[in-house]
Amino acid sequence: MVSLKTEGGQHLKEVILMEEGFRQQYVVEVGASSSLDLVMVGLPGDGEISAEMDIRLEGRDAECRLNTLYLAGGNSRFNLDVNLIHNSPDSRSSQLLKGILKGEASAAYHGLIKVPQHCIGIDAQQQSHALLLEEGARVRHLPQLEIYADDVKCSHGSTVGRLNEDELFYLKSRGVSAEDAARFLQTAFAMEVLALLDQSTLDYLRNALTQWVIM
Amino acid sequence: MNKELLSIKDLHASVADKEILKGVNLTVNKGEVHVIMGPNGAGKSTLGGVLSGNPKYAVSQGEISLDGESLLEMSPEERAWAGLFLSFQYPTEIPGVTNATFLKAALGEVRRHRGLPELSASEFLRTAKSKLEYVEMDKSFLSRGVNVGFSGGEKKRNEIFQMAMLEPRVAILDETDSGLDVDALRIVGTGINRLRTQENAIILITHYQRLLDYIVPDFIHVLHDGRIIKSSGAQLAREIEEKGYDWIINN
Ligand SMILES: Nc1ncnc2c1ncn2[C@@H]1O[C@H](COP(=O)(O)OP(=O)(O)OP(=O)(O)O)[C@@H](O)[C@H]1O
Ligand SMILES: [Mg+2]
Repeated sequence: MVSLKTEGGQHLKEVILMEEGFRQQYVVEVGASSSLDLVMVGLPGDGEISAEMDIRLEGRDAECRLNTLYLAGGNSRFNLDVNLIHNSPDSRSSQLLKGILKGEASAAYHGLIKVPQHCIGIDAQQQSHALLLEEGARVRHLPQLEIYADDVKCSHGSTVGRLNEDELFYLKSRGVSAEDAARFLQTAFAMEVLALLDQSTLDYLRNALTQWVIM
Repeated sequence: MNKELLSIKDLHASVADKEILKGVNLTVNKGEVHVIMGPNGAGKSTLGGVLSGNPKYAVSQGEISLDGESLLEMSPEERAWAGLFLSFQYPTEIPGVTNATFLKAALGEVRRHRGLPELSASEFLRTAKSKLEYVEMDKSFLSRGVNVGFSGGEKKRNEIFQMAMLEPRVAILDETDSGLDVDALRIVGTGINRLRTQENAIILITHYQRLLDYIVPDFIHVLHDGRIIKSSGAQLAREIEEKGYDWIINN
């Protein structure tokens, strides 16, 4: 178990790289006027990744942003469980999950957002999007909202899609190879999360990323 | 010397199990400009789509060859490498992919397959800037998403800009004049005309004479119900504009 805590007006950013065999539970606490930016990248290779995040927002103006990208191929499995509790009024959270799957890979995401009765003035966002490149890949994104308070701004959305045929054709008709055309569109899809990574992390991941995206 | 560039023989093609092209024959030689006109739904864009290898069309019969090489077995990208180019009637928007990165990849592949050396980043930029001038586009368009948020006219200019970059041997321009204001029409028209050489060929799909004020064609063909029912010289466009298609169809 790893515990992460920000308080006293601190702003923290953590990048969590999850590679083949990664298995970890995080307990996260964000205090008043503090924020935590978590960027998670999942590259399960041919194995399995499993992460559990217990996130508690424990003070006014506490904010947590969780941005995750996973790229799963072969027979790999990606599992992410997020339990996020707004334990204080006027706290904010946003989650963005983006996944690209091919081969026989499978992914499961369970995202619970809980807002107890006394907690007004909450802003909670949750988005999960997956791209399935091949028939054999499987994805289950399960958002779950337990809202017991009024005056809560909460939005969530979940999509599972494929690469757009018209976009692929347009690129290929100009001479872009089929492989690069797909990588261009995958890059566009993943960019929101990739853009949050610094150069040294990108350099470290370069070999693993190039089969998926154009950097 | 063999002057034949594109040959289409008895081409039949369908979309969603509906036959649209019902035996198209067309030969295009080097240096020629051909115009294809015809009523809405005649199959003009279908012909462009089939030539460029769009997987949504199924070819059931016939042959297409470019410089003696059969195209039907080739993927869309292989056709582009061989020198085919389609300017789309409705260019696709691709968010998150910039015009510059996309074109650099496209031009890189095209040049590699034509045995030309790779361009450095600065050579690419210099070429791009000079080709942008053909259609009077600002270089800021290079860093924008492909066609994303472009006005109708800007999309059409972007198509011709790409044509200028890729230097195809046969370009099919599908209603590149539609949606252009008078100034843009002149710019695009003269831009296309500058790209005309003795070595390439252009097929213009259009409904109007106006583009032909800038690009004088060698032939005009009328496509109706999946077949070319009339071929004639440049004067036919004016006649069609005056009299419509009925007199040709009913003949
Ligand atoms: N997916 C589809 N399913 C059924 N019919 C289709 C489909 N796509 C196109 N068609 C039909 O194919 C026919 C030919 O269409 P095409 O776009 O080639 O016409 P066009 O000559 O380019 O017309 P326009 O001048 O309006 O651009 C039309 O009748 C159209 O409705
Ligand atoms: Mg059309």
